[in-house]
Amino acid sequence: MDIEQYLKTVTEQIRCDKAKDMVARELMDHINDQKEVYIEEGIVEEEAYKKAVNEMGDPVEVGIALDRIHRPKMDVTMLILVLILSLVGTTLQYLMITNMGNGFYQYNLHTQIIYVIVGFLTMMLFCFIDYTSIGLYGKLGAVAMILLLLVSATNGVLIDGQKGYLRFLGTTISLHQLVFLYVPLFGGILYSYKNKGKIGFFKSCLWLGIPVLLTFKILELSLSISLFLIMSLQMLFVTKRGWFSEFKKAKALIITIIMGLPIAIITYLAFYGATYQKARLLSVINTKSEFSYLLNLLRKLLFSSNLIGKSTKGIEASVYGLPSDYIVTYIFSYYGIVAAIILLSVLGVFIYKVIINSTRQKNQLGLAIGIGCSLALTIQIILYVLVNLTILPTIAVYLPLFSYGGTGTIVTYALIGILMSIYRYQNVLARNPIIVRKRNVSKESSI
Amino acid sequence: MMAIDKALLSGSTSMLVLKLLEEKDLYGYEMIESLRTRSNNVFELKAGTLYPLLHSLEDKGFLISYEKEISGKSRKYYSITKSGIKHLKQKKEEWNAYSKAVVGVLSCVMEGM
Repeated sequence: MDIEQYLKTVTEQIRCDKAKDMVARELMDHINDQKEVYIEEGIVEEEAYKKAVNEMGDPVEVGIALDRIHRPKMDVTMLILVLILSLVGTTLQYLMITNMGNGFYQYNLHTQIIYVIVGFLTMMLFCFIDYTSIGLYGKLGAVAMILLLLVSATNGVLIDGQKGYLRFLGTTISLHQLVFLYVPLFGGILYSYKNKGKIGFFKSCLWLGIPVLLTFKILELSLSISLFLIMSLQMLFVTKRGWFSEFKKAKALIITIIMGLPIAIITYLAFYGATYQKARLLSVINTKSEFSYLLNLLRKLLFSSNLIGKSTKGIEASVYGLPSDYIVTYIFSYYGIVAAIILLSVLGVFIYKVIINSTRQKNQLGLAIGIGCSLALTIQIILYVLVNLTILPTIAVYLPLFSYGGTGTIVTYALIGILMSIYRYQNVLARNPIIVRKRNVSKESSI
Repeated sequence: MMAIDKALLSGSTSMLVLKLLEEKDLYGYEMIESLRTRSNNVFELKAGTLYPLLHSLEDKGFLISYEKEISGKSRKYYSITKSGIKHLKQKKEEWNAYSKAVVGVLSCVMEGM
């Protein structure tokens, strides 16, 4: 049997096409090593090849054993966790709608259920699609998102006087939510600048800066802060893994920028901020100001909550109406501290799961995209909880898998779908896939 | 060279591979060579057994692989992880208990004879 025939027989046993190249290369290297040793021992080349191939053992047996490992796999734990969270989230929407009445909580359960179903299907679709296409079309997608942001500034629709909504085929898309899909695209862009040193680092910074600046100018400050935090932590993570190792100051630079952020925000607000922004920022400490109305209401609800069950004081307070995006506060008040702690723990498990999954990823493109998706979900959850507990001022927040909304729900499921796709193909793709515009996108590369 | 029963070897191969990698990162061919010389040619591990084993250990998170260029050739190196070291320790303990038991039984039988 010659080497081609051997490798052909091995790879024929492997059902997953994407894994074939990676396996064939490693085995070929091994045969070549063995052959060279035989040649050194004085065997002629042709004989040495044959002998080396024979040493490998039965190709069918090897192929079957490898097929068992290199198979796309479903992240069942994640799927179950998402199903549970979706169910709890939808049930909570139902309870809030029935308990609080149409006067204060004007949402429609049926619409939300449709969003969840569409979201779930989107998640499964993203899970089965090979995510390396994000590496291929990262910049294209990023440019498209930037254009959408620019279009919304001039041709968008206003909702509650706010910019950042687009009408498309009869539905309204919220860019406040859609913009989070920039994060996985940014992961693909980071991968394209891997090992490109200083130039790669600063080009990545540019791709990070543009959407942050645009969301700040067109949408809102708090959203651009979240986006900035997510993407700079994503960049810090890959920098720590040595992606820009030729540029030694990279790590220190990102840390300085992240540390400098609060100072930058406060300075900006002090000099250029609108009065309401300043007041809102201070409302966390200054409970007397008129902007503290909502915050005081929330605190009243939180502090009057019982260990278990409905709080009577809370109900009194909620006569004034609890805004839609205070699910955690709502649970404290309506179901007690124990229920709220259970919810927070489940969210904690979810965060732990997505972070562990993505940091353990060996595929480098998957690492950059996955850590971004995980951070996008995690930072949104953390900010939401902090605002609900009145530790942060009352800014617009969104709780993935729980909050009401079309774009938000679908974007959340899409991010989870990408994470599931990364998990799905982790034993199939090479560590450093070369992204090329061909049918066969992934080939093993050398570092 | 003494012929060793295959079944006796297969369960402990992963332990031996992890042990080799605990000392330094190696690529597949080096592992087979190293195992052969260290065991005085007792362990003749086939490449066909080694690679599926390495890939499944990597899948379980006991190993990670990376590519490194050595004198113009790109090699796929394997490196043991923290959980791999933990797993090795556990396997070693199991092995020690097992071999002690086997020796114990064997020596009893010998004495009885």
